[in-house]
Amino acid sequence: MERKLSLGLTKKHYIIFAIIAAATFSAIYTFTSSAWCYGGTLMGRPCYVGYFTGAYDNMGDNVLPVIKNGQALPSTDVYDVPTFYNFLRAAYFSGDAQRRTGAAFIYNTLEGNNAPGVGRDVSEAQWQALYTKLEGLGNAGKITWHGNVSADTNSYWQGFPSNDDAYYGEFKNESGILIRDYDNNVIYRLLRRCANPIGNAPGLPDPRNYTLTPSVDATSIPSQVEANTTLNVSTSVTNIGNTSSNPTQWEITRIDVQPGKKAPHEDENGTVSGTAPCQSNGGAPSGNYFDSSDADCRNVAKDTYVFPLGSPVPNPKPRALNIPIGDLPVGTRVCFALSVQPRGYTDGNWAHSKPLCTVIGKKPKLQVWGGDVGVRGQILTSTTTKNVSGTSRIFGSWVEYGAFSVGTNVGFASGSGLADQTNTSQAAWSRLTFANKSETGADAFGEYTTSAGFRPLPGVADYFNTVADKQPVGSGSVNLSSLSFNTSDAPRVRTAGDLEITESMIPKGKSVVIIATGTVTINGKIEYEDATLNTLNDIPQVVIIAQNINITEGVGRVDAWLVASNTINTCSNISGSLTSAKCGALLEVNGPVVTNRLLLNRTAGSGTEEESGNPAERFNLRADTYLWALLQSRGSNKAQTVYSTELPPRF
Amino acid sequence: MKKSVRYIIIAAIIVVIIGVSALAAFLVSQSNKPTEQQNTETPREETSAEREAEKKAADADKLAAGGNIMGGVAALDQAIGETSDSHAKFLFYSQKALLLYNDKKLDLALVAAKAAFDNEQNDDAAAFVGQIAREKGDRATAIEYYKKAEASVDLTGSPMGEKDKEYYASVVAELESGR
Repeated sequence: MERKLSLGLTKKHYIIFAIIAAATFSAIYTFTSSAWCYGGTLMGRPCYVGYFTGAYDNMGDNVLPVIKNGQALPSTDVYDVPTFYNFLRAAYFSGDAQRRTGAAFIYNTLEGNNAPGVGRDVSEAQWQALYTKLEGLGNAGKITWHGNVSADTNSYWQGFPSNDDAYYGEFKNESGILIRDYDNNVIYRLLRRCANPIGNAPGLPDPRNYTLTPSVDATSIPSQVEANTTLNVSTSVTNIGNTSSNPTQWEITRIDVQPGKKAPHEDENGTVSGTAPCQSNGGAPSGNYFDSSDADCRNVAKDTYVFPLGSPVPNPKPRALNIPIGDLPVGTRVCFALSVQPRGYTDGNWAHSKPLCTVIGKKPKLQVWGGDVGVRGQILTSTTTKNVSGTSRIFGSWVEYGAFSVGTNVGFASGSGLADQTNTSQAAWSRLTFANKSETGADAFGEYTTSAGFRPLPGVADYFNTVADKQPVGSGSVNLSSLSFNTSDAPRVRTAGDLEITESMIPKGKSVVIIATGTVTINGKIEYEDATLNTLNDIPQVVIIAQNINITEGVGRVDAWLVASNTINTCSNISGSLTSAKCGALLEVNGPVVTNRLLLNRTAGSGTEEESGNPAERFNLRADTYLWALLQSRGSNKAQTVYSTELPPRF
Repeated sequence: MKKSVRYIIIAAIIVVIIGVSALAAFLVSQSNKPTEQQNTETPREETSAEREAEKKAADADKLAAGGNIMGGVAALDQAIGETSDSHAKFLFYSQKALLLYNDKKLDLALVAAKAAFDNEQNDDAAAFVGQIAREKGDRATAIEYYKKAEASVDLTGSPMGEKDKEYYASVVAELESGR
């Protein structure tokens, strides 16, 4: 007989079994392994193998123990490079085995050292080097102290006996510290909860930095410019460091400074500031670094460049071209400065160059009325082209009649050619220039003849030296009216060594002839009385013959013949360099001038607008000179021809 | 049959049911996991697909680091759409959630974090959902997911398993206490 085994199970029992089975299945199914062993090595070690010892141990703990708020790297205590660095060092020097090992592990992995790295013993120099790298990255904003970090490998402390840290495969996404390199690649991640480094660690890069220093090229800034000219400003930038700059904005600023004043920061050899150079005319907003009560600034050029390393950078070079200077008063200082921003990788300030300046100067002009100019050398004078009331005009020195020179004539007009002239071609204002054509018929000015063939000097000194009636003047200074003789009488020559002439009013009918062996200094104006002259005998006249004739600054008029065997100086008593602030009064010489050397030191005239052509010296050969000379021809009522040359007809 | 014998047999049946169910669950879960996660001891090399996924994630991260966070997110969305691999999707969703979370876009981060967890239900993925929910002030969701994290911890294969489990439990305790 078969025996049957009956458990008496009912439907209820089977349901219970099913529930148990389902519950068990679900519980176990969700209990999945999230850790794994990565292939190959990480930081020079396979999974679960200690970094320093190479020991295998897959049981673990935090790399660093929890300190506060459930974190081994509390976010309240570790939030920048110094706090992080000091925290690591505190762990390293704590005396605790786990903390020292963890700190050394973090040091080695930060440096990207494959196991065993430098070992658990980190030298002071190594700590310092680490800090330098961290500091550079921190300053560049490449360390994120808050937020989550993630990687698919984790690390842990193996505990004792190995007292080592190791890696294994496990995806982590938690609050941590993230470090990027200068190109924004992630190079280090550290979990705050446990101070476990996660993911690969290629190592911290050396600090990346550069520093830009701008400068204005001195060769592009002349010491002086005339008003209404244009200027090209060149600059350069020096980049010292280990990398090209980031895109850098640069601005060239023009600073117009009142005469006698200085531009802001002109005495400083380049400066650094958070202030932009000058917002006027499109400069960076809020810029006023080069503005002051004595100076007005405006931007003249700007752009954005990347500056490679170089001292200076060969290319690119910021420039400002064709800057119109404007019709500024003489003495105005026009300065230029280059500014760049940011000046460095971790320095967002502006770097400003030292402003370099030019001065609005003038080119004083000379006019000769009533006669010719004869020069045994070269004639070289300057011209100025200006826009006056919408018309481009040219201003310069000129003679009313002929210009004769052995050498070339550059810029000097004849026949009053530059009085109200718009044509810049010298041919247009050289009608009485001898010569004004070359042998081939091309425009060429001067070189009329050779020195041997040039007109002889008027024998003024020789003539009066023959006068028998000579009386010494005496020493000191003299008013010429005390030395005069009647014009109608035979001339009397007053002799002197050096002589100083004070202000002298020569009455009508009186004449003075001075022959000095030394220097005659004219300290006051010499003026003929402004009276009605009825006869030739009424003509007053002064003849000064000397080795040197010096006219001082305060003298504005000299009615006299000036004959010097050496030098005539139109403004002799200046100290230091000649500037537009000195000798600024017009000098009128009414009489012939014969000299070996003529120093034209007056700076008057050459103003603005219509006054641009006003002269500094005017030499005027008036008719009274001819008529008085006629009397001196010893009673003859005729003028005697002593020299002739053929001139072209003048209409 | 004696009652005692009956109870012993029934108990044995229950033990067998539990054992078979557990074995079945383990085998099924292992087979459903990526091959690379099926054995915690045997090293496995990174596959080219994984390298490609990591590169895409890194590129998106770099884009975000340069200031274009939504550009990085868009790149990840594109990567998600181009793959059917659940592990790759997990990586991309995790990275997306990370970018959005770090940029304080918590609502969008939560959605991405949940999607990451749906693709790969590990303790870390669950914990990240809990972290975001906690920061949003959604305590209920935070507790729910931290508990899932706690339950998901790999105590055998992960050296940090115990610590992780303790941590998640502590967070749950804080949340449940109202902190």
